[in-house]
Amino acid sequence: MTNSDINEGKKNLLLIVEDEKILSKTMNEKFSQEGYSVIQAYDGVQGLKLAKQNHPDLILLDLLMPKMDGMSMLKELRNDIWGKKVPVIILTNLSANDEDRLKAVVELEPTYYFEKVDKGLEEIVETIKDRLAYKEQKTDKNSAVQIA
Amino acid sequence: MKNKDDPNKTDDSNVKSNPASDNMEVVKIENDLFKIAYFQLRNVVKKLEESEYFFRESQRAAFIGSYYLDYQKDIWKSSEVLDIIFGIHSDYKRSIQSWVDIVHPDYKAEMSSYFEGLISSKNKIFNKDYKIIRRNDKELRWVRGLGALEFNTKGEMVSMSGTIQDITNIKVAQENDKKTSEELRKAQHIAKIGNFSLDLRTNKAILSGELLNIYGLNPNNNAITHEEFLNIIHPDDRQRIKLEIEQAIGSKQLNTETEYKIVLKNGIEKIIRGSSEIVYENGQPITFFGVAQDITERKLLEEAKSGFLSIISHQLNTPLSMTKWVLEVLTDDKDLTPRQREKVNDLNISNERLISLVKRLMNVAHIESGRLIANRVTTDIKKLVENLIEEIKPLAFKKDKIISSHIPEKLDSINCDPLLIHEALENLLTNAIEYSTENSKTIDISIADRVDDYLISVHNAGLIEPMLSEKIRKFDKFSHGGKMSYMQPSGSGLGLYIAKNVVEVNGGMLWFESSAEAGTTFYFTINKIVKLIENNNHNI
Repeated sequence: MTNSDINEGKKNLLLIVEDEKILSKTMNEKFSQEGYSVIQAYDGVQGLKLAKQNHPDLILLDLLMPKMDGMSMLKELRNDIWGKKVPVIILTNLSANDEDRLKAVVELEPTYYFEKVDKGLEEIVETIKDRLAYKEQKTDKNSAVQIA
Repeated sequence: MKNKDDPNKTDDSNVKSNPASDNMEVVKIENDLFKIAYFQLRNVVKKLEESEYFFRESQRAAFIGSYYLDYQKDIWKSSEVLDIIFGIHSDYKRSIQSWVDIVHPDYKAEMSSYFEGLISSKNKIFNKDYKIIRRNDKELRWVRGLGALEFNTKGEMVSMSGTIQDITNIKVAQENDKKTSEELRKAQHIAKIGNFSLDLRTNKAILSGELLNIYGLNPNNNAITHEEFLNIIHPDDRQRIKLEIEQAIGSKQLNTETEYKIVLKNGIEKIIRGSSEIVYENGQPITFFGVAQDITERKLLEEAKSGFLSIISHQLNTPLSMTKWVLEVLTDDKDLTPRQREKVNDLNISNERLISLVKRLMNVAHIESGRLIANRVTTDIKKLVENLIEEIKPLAFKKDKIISSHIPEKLDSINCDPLLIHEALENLLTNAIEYSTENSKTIDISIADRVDDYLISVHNAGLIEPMLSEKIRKFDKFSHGGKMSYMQPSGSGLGLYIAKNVVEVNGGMLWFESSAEAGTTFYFTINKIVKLIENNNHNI
């Protein structure tokens, strides 16, 4: 089943904010194959701008990036009326086992916090599908943060 | 002594001088009175003799000699003990100059001018410690000279009498004391460790010099109240420390270790590691004794190291995740030939191994730098274990092993770090699968619901693989089980080390038993009740 089946032709829009070109390109390829529309940003500033302009259905967010890091971008986003509710999956290679980062996670409520090396693209796709399906049922912001 | 004989003589003459008295009664009474007086006097003399004896003896024992100086004739007399102290004989010429001769060269000038000063200022008290060179054996001794100067009406010095005590032993002891406390002070300063002792009855704490220095307090006031101490602590930590001290006192917990921040008056913040002990008397806590060390520098280094590790980990993981994802996308490609698919698969296995290795290395680095922290959340342990078994099944299948679980129907959720417990159990299970002997097909995993904790065990038949035993080395930190050894699992040699440490960070213990009959079982515990202090993520 592809994403387009669920949305009856209307493709869900994903924003990938990732400074590593190869990672971004690979994600783009995989998600597009799965039937999503994808836009890409390569730093936090560009990510924030594209998010506010395009209102994607879900954001995949790296943390360590030039210009503006992922947590700062998420903080800006949460201050925005639209951005308050958008599901965000943090995809990073920084461990969540850090006091400050945990505090930020609790405060900014990303939907998931994944470490890239732990997650295959297939798993990420499954997570996106689940999250977007959940969004169909309930347009509210998801309050349960899961770290995996 | 003359006195000793006098009463006797008086006695005889008096008795005989009154025989012609008319009134015999009077005589008798007088006689009786006299006898009484005589006996009383005799007692006094006897006591005097005794006291003089004791005085002499005490002088000898305390090594106190006495002297009398006739200043105008420039001659002094000395007691037996003083002669011993000075190491002189009866034929020694006793003059002021000869006394100066005995005085140690370092003190000659000082003592001469001190003495002359007393005379010119009509000061009547001589009181001075000085060194001498004992005449007979040339040994260096310390003496304490006390004396009273007598002046005539014209204000001229007439005489002086007093005592001289050999205080060498006292001085040596004092110097040793001084040296010891000076060494202690220096040691405290170098180690940046101070100590304190809080009297729980008066609520007053006495602080060592170095602790005053660490806390940035007035070095001249070494006593502060408990409240004043709490005020030095950073507001973030104050309540916790107050609670910890109360808990320590209340629970009769003997030793407490903690870390806290302090804020100096000038705003500088320091990180302190404190260890304390409570001293009880008749079951009552009386003293809160402890040491506090300034670990700010070490902490900053640790933080720098941890930051460095986190960046290294990130830098290593970025290309690893690229490879992982690219290989995954490649596997999706329907056009791959079976040979290509096999090669991509091999690459993937190799990459996953590298990912796992980096993760282990980072865990070890965190353990080594003491930065491994348990992030406790309410965890469904049953679900955690069951999920893990599912995850590990493919590996078990590949190695032709069966995982058999024995988990109670219902288990209460527990406060622990699920990621760390997952890590520990995964390591144990992987070990059991990878290293159990070929004929031991089943790996048993069970959870026992005990009063204070859950006991999780992983069992496989057979001894630890001989090939593995070669790699086993002594590992002191294993404190339970028959064989205290360290197993090298999964090729990286880190799995058990990590498992043990993550279990301990969660407040549990890990050990194992291994015998040919019973097989090999690894055990670890997860405490049901987590102490409040640990819950704050400090002290780890």
